[in-house]
Amino acid sequence: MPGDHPTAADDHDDAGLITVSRGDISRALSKRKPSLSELATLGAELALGPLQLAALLGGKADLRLTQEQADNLRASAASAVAGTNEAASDDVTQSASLCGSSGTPSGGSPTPTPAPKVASVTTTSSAFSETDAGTTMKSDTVGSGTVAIRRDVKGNVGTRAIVNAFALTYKGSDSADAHWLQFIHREIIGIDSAGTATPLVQAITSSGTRGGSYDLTQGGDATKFGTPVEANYNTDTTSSTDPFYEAGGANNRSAGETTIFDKPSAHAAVQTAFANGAVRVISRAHFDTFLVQTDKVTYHSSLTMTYDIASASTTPAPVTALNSAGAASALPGTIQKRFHAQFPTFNFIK
Amino acid sequence: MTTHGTITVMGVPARGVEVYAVRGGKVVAVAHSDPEGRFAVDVDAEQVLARFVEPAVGVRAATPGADGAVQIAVERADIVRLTGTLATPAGVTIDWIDLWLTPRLPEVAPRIVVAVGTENAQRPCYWARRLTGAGFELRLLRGTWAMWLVREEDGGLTAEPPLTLTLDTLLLPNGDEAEAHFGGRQFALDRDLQVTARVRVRTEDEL
Repeated sequence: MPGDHPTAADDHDDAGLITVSRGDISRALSKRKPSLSELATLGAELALGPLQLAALLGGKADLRLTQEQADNLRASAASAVAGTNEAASDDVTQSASLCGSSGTPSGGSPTPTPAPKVASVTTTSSAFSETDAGTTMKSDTVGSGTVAIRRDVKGNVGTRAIVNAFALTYKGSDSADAHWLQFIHREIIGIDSAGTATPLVQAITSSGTRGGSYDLTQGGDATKFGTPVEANYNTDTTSSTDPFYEAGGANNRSAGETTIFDKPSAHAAVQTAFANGAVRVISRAHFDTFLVQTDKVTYHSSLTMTYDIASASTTPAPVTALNSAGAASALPGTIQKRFHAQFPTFNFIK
Repeated sequence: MTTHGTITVMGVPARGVEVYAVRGGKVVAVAHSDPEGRFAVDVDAEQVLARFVEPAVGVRAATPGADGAVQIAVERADIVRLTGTLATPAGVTIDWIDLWLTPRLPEVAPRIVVAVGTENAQRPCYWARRLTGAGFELRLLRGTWAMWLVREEDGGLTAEPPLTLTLDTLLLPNGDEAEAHFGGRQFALDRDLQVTARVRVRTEDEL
């Protein structure tokens, strides 16, 4: 862990600056192999410009820090690498070396890269144990990484055996700064013996999310999706403070990727539709899932899981269909309003 | 033609009662009774439903006469008390559970009872209350009722799913079980009744 005091590798010059040699920087980088996002974050902490960062990364410059910069670096490094490099006995020299990289310098402007407001995730998780990878519906390149969307994934979450789950994966060296932000809206539609489709009106209680419930979407029928309004959307998280799906939903995260898994139920209200005269009930769960990278929306997937239920006594296997998926730069307006209402402290995600 | 009438409860004009005018198997107009218990809708209704929530929960239906007039009266003898005790599985503590009730009227299609006015939409039940205690006590209109107890939380896929409960059995005072009815229970409420509602954990693939 970062030391409390500069080590012998540090040299205090006459102006009170702490100097870290280019040799130490080079050795530390080769030893630690930090991700680009970690380097960018630490660089931003030190307010280093692109040329300065490039010079450090290239072993062409020493690093000279004020005491305040060194203190900031210690604090940043402590949180960024906690638990991942216990043996490194990181001193200021090694941690300072991490602040260097934000990639190829873009020009002469020394404007610093702001630190992401959503914290990087350097821990790993493996909540979902896959036994069948299912079917890939879409793969796309996003920035320096890739997104894959799959259906009919099988596996286990704890002791729960799960089938027909869907999964979204981002793979990339910058995955520590990639997070999945998912929104759900639902519709339950009863269809009577004459073929008349009637949507159910009901508030769905949700776990975790601020607001506590969301309303079923209206306007759909057997083949047409309903039209959601703000009150129909819900931020799909089990946390009341963290909007990202990974806050409590099944997710696997490793150094180079992050994957979320989900499978909604048909909902108990289906039974009442049969009780009130339906001979067929369609329960649709719609998911708008966004990849957020360093506080920016970069990708949007829209998929629907449908239970087409012919009998009140049997739950059929759900069918997952991808409606659309591709690059995005912002949340759609209706979703954004709901999101900012439920999680106002995350209103920097547009 | 106008359909019009008066609604009274225990001989007193009932104010604010929601009235559905039904024609062709659909709700075609909605009105509310005025302080004198009067209502009127500008349609030739085949059937009128008065939808009560106070002083008792329930629905009464009537057919208008040739002149469009209809009288709906709820008497003291029509109001009965339903008292219920929740029985929970061992080790399960219920923080909340939703009680859903729908009256079953022989002369009215269920979809009309749960219709959301004239919209193409319906509710899962006629009346709902979130219970946070070990039981409930209600005043209902005499008749046949369907009951559900539902605890379901929407959320992400987790190793420990949220507690999901459903009505397992509804024990009547004579020891009989109320008949199963689409995940709920149906029973005749013809007098004050004390029931025991036993709930169970709903399995993952159960509707």
